[in-house]
Amino acid sequence: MERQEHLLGKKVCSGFCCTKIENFGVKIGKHNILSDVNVHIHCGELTALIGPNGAGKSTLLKALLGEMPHTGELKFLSSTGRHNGHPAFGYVPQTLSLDRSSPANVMDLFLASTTMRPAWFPTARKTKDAVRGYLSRTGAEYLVDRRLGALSGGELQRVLLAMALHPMPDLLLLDEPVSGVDQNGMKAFYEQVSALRAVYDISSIIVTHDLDLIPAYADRVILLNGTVLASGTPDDVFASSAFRTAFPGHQPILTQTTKSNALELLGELNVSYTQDNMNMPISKGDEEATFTNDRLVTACEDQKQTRRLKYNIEQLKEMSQTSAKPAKNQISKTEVRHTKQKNMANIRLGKAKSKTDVSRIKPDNRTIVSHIKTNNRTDVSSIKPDNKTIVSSVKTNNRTAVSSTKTNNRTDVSSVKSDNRTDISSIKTNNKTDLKRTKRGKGKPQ
Amino acid sequence: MTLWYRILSFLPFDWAQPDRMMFMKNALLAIVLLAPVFALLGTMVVNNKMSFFSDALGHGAFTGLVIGGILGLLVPIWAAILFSVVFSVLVTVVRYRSGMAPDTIIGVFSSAAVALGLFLATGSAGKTVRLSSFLVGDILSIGKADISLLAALLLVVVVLWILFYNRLLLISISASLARSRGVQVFRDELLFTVLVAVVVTVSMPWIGLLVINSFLILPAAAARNIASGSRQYTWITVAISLVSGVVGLFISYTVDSATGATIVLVMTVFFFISMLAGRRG
Repeated sequence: MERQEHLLGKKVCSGFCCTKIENFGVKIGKHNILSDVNVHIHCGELTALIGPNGAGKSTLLKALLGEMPHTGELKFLSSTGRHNGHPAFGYVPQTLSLDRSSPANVMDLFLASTTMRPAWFPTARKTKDAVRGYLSRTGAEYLVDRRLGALSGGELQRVLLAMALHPMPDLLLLDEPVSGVDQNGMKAFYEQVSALRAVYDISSIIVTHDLDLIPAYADRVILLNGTVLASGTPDDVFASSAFRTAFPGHQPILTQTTKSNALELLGELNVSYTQDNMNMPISKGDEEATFTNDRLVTACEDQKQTRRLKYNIEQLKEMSQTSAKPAKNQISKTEVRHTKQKNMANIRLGKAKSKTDVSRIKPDNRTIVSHIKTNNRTDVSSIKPDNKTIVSSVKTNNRTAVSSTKTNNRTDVSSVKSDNRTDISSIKTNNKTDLKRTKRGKGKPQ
Repeated sequence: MTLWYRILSFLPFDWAQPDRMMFMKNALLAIVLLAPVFALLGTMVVNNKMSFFSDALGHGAFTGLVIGGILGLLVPIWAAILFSVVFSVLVTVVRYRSGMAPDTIIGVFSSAAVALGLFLATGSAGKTVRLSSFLVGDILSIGKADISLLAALLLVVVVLWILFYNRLLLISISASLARSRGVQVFRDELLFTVLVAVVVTVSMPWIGLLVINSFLILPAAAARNIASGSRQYTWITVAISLVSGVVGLFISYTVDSATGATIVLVMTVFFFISMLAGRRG
């Protein structure tokens, strides 16, 4: 019921449900496989679990599932604030090796794992329709009568994902779900999981070796090797020294997010960079923004430059954090960083799949965030500028939450279009609020 | 039983007339009761690639029967069942716990069991044991008490099949997936193994050690060639098993051959027909 309301958009989760893994440790014999693992996961977040072979990634998942004895605690707080020690788990194992000649089909697998009625009894039409419905969540309903042996690797993973989503879990654990699936299948799977977390607000932990796909899909990354070596946004973790030690050969791909972050931060801090500190000239202003971006892209092809740039960004972040006051109603979403400064508001949008253009940032008395297109989710929250905020033409495929915007002077939230769901709540202004051309779509998943 | 005889009296066969050839009627009833039991268990034995394992269980059951015969407890069959259950649990536990290849372990246990059985049966203590009846089987000698035991067995298997089928199916598809969905894999597999051991032991005097494994494997293997979906698979296996059993019994009655072996031959014919007709033929 609660979940239903959630699905229909009557309840906003906004990261209030969370899973805490506290002091987890696993011993096999005399060997410490895991120790002191502390992880905090918000709902709706996709967390990538990376680490070298034998780092204990699968062990952590098994310990969470309760298949392995462990020390430490798993705490779960549901979106209603109800403490509930055990989240409902969904689990997609590593690619299964199935008996190709088995007569069992997808329907059998579903029935066998979700119902008490023996699979060799006649199936009621209602049950069949229900199973098709569950499979449609991952676009696998056409596979319902297919033999398991006749499924491709990607198709099987979609079926297993659909199974993991029934009953709807709070925490979805994916153990290298796409190993052995080709690049396209892998991307498709990640997109599916991304879309699901946005629609159903479930937290996911995905064990993966596909480091290149992480920046595009994961909200957070945990680098594990016996214990948590680094955790945070993909950019943070990829820039960490622990990551470079663990994956010395990996060439980080500078994401669009990082690039726009760089631009924002540059503008935000009002620092002009010259060749001295960044090896390239960057000037501010509308016209030069594109030029600068191009230069950034060019520069980023050089790994050395990339690291240097990231290092600079880290430095800038620290500087900006010390100069910015923490927001009162801060909703801790990793995608959303809200910086409150006296003269301007800066809205940084993460995880833009197709394109994020946060180009026309004018670091004077106002902020214009325009033409934001994302495939996943955009949260524009806790904006507290002193002067003026214009959030315009936010287009998302899934969900847009523009919440608790408080301004002293004026807020324009205009032409917010979303395919699925738009929540505009508790906007308080002192002077004037314009909410125009806000369209609400139907609450159906992509 | 009376009802069964009355139903049969409508059949246009010589032996089916009232008060004639009671052993044939009993045998037919035994086949009708046994065929579904073997068919159901067989589907899962084949799913789990346990055909070699079930063969070993048969050898264990054989030894159990010999021991039961020698000890001559109140009812020898219970001693045999007890031994078979212990044997099957032992093999399963060793299979799970030791790192050795399963076929080696099964081979060791299977050989050891049949050797022990033959040793005991041919020794001075075992002169009373009807060795050949265990090896070849003689369903025509089945009595009313044995038939009620088979009926009880069918009932137990069907009930367990309703309760445990989904779990067993999930385990056969993927044990790790089953485990993640809260299925106690070891417990359920053990239960299944014990069930197979009991069924094999109880029916061995009627079917015979030499062909009993084929009763488990062949109908399921034939059904796999043509079935799509577990429901079809189950029902086709039961149908093949029943038809083969009845046809085999009639043939063996006509040409006076060993019933168990004749039924297995009919099943083999079904297997090859299904293989040619099947999608993977």
